[in-house]
Amino acid sequence: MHAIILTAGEGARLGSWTANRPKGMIPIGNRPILDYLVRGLVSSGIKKINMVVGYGKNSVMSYFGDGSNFGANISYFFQEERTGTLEAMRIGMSDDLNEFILVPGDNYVSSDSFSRLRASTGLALLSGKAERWSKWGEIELEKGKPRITFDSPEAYQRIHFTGIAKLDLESANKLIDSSGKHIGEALQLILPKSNFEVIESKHWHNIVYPWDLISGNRMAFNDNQLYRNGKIERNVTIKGEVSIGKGTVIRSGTYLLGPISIGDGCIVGPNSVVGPSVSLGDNVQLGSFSEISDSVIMKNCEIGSYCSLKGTVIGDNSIVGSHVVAIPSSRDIMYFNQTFSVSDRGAMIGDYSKIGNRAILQGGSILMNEAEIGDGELYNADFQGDSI
Amino acid sequence: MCGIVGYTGNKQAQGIVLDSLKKLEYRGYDSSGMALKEDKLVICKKEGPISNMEEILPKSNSNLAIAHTRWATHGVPSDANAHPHTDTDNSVAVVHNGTIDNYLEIRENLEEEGYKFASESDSEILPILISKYYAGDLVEALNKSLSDIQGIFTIAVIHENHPDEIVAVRHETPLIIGLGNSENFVASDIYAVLKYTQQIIYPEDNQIVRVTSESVELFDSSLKPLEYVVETVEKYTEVAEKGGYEHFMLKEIFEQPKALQDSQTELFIDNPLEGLGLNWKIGSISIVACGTSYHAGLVGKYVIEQLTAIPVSVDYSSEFRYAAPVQGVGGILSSRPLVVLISQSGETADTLAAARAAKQQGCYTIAICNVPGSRITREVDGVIITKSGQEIGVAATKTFLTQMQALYALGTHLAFNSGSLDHPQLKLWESEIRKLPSKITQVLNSSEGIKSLVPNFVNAKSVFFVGRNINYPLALEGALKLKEISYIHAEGYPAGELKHGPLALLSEDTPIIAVAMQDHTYSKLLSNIEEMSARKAPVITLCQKGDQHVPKISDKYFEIPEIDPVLSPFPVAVFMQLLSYYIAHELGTDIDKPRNLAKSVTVE
Repeated sequence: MHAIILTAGEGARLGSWTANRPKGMIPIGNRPILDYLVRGLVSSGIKKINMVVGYGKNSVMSYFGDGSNFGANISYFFQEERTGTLEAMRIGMSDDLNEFILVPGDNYVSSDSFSRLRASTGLALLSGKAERWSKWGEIELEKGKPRITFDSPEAYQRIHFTGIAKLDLESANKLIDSSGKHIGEALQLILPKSNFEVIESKHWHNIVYPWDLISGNRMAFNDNQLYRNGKIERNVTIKGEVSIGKGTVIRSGTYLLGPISIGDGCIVGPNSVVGPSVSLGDNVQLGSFSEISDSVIMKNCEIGSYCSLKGTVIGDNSIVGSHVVAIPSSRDIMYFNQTFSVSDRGAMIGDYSKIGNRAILQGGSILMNEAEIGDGELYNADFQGDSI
Repeated sequence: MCGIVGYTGNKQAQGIVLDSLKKLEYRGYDSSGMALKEDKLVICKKEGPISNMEEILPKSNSNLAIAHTRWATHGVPSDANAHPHTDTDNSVAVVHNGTIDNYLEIRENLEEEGYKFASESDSEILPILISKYYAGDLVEALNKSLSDIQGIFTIAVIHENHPDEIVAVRHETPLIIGLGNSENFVASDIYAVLKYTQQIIYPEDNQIVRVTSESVELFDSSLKPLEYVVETVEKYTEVAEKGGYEHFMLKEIFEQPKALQDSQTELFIDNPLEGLGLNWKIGSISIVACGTSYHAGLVGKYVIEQLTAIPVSVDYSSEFRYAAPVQGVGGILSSRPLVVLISQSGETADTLAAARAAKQQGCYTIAICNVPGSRITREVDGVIITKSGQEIGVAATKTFLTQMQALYALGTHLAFNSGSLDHPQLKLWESEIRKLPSKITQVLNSSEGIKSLVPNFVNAKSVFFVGRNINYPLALEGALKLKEISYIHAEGYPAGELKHGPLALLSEDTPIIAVAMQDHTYSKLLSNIEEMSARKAPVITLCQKGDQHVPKISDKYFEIPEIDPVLSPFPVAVFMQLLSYYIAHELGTDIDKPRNLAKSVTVE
């Protein structure tokens, strides 16, 4: 059986974090979202993967290569224009394809979902629980038959369609021939005349907005890969699942509370407190006496001493001074002209940013790429554009 | 150059050998061939890339095979000159890498004795000699033949009477033995066999090897059995596949952030520099290399001299090895010269010879090399391994960046040892070097901007690259990249030297790439650009982000990310690589296999 992963889109609502990479390459739990999907597919026995790439395709191809490092056999298909998910699926349908699993590349889903999907006898939809409206629609069961609706935007805790489905050639062609504008809509149209089973995923997270990265990161630690390669100095306390990459040094007196995933070449501490639910990308330097929890720190960041960061995202190559505080508060924020109620989120900072010493970033602050906050500033705006 | 693979074991040899041979195609692709053992020996060979040979390959269940991919030295690429070569009645098949210097003499003698030759290749004397001396033992026959021939060579032989046996020998060109389970391999390098085994034997020069499916024996020249060591090499997970990219070169360009980072982990954490014991007073440094590695060496010169004030000279290996011994070399230990040899493959013939010459003259030698266990790493006093991964594209890309990085690290290490850098300064350098992967990622992300410059070059007959100071070597490297893959004539010059000659060649049809970084030569470079513009040559300038002057005086410009000018060669190199790639792509050349070129140059 094949899988088609759609990862040609940009994911504009994530703002900064997709300026330098496609959405699927954003790291949660220290691995790109796509990494979970590919490994999940491989562990369920699906090795032939057709990956439809477009925006930022080089970063995807460099990461996965031909798939052999992942036990997969990956072929690439190119969607250069933004012509939608249905067209992407059509591009990814190679000639040798019959039954396949369709996977939009911007979802985190626990790996067991794929084996259950594969084991189902006929066509199937994967459902999941979500906190809010999903672009794929909701699934309602009517006399055992699934129906996709887009009716209630406040669909808190209802059963959603994850965009992941098991299809065959016939049903895929029906989708393409339908008048639907995207996969969710096309499925809505063909479902009444088809037989789809609904399979529930244990963990699913749709990554759409910046704050999704923090909750996605928490969830991704369900699939934490354990490795311990770095150098750990004396008097370091490690509790729970903690992964440490090669060339990393954990300095004395540091307290690590898992789940944590630390990349290659990092320097942590001395005397820092990290975790739970923290991913540190490759080459991150975390100064002494800093505390960090529930956060995603991407590659090559430098964080000074005496910082307190919670519920925070920091993009690649950012520099954070000493005594910087970013801790959660609950508030409503404006983002792309919509109001969102956000809680337990600290600051969300884009790539190549610079945060000065003793800066205070209020919970829910969003700073776009290359943002600069001066020494001692208090920042509490929703959105800092590139212009600042 | 030239790749050799052999297999003997319990599986069907054909597929395995073909697969392994393809991993060596970067070593040459003029012609290829394979010898298999049916009732008699079956030889199949064809001019052109391996795929040409694959098409005409007969189905065979043979458990024994040797194969070869060729880069022509003696005799044009043709079916007849392709390897394997055989004797007149097809009982012996030989594949050979290298050159036989006295082959004309031997050939005349053999012709007088009545032997017939089918090709112009120097290698053809080998099967005829072996068959002449053969009296039941292939090792003995090969040994006798060796006493007749002079030159450099790796030879692998099979004989129709020995259905399970490959006999091989090396002299100054590479040979490795791979040990499997009821199967064994011979090959030019480990990449060919890593898919099947990590257990490797590295035979020394002139040791004759007899490999059967169950055993490996080594003999010296008096045929006395020798002991050998089996080494386990790191499993190499990267595979020679393009993974979605159109060419290996593009794939490798995009792999550079990872290559730099992997090499950093090695450099800064395992710290191999400490182990080199360079804490004596170094009187002078010579950097010796060929091609792109030579350009990395030139960049190294600027960095090391700036940091340490030790004089550094940079030489081509092919010149250094024949140069007169320099005064002071081999003199008092306190000013013992340091010689740094750079070779991606670790088997470049000229660089190896240069290493030997330097050692002989009493210099301390260190090698910067990308292949652990390769020849050069076994001959020098100290080694810095770069972790670029295998490079398949003939045009060097990621190895250039990792070699430069190794030289920067060496420079800071020497400066720290000699007291010209203190601890905080050393840390600062280290942290700047650590930022390189992200800096070049920014250039990679703006590849579309580079692509848009291509129309300026496609009709050019000649292109000039100019730079000053540490970016002068980058002008040379930019010109080399463009030449080798697009076949457009290109020259690199120090910007100040144009007025001493090349300015005469400038016109509207000779586009110029200028590198203008804001170091102490910046204002001079700006006036050089004005000089060139005045001759109506279109100037495309590379400048740092936010440069105010360059956009005003250049026809086009490209901004590299904010970076200390001393580290600018890294993003500049990536620009040069991408530009050459896109130009060559537009012109439709065979980018991964440029005409007449090959990788791992094991001939002089």
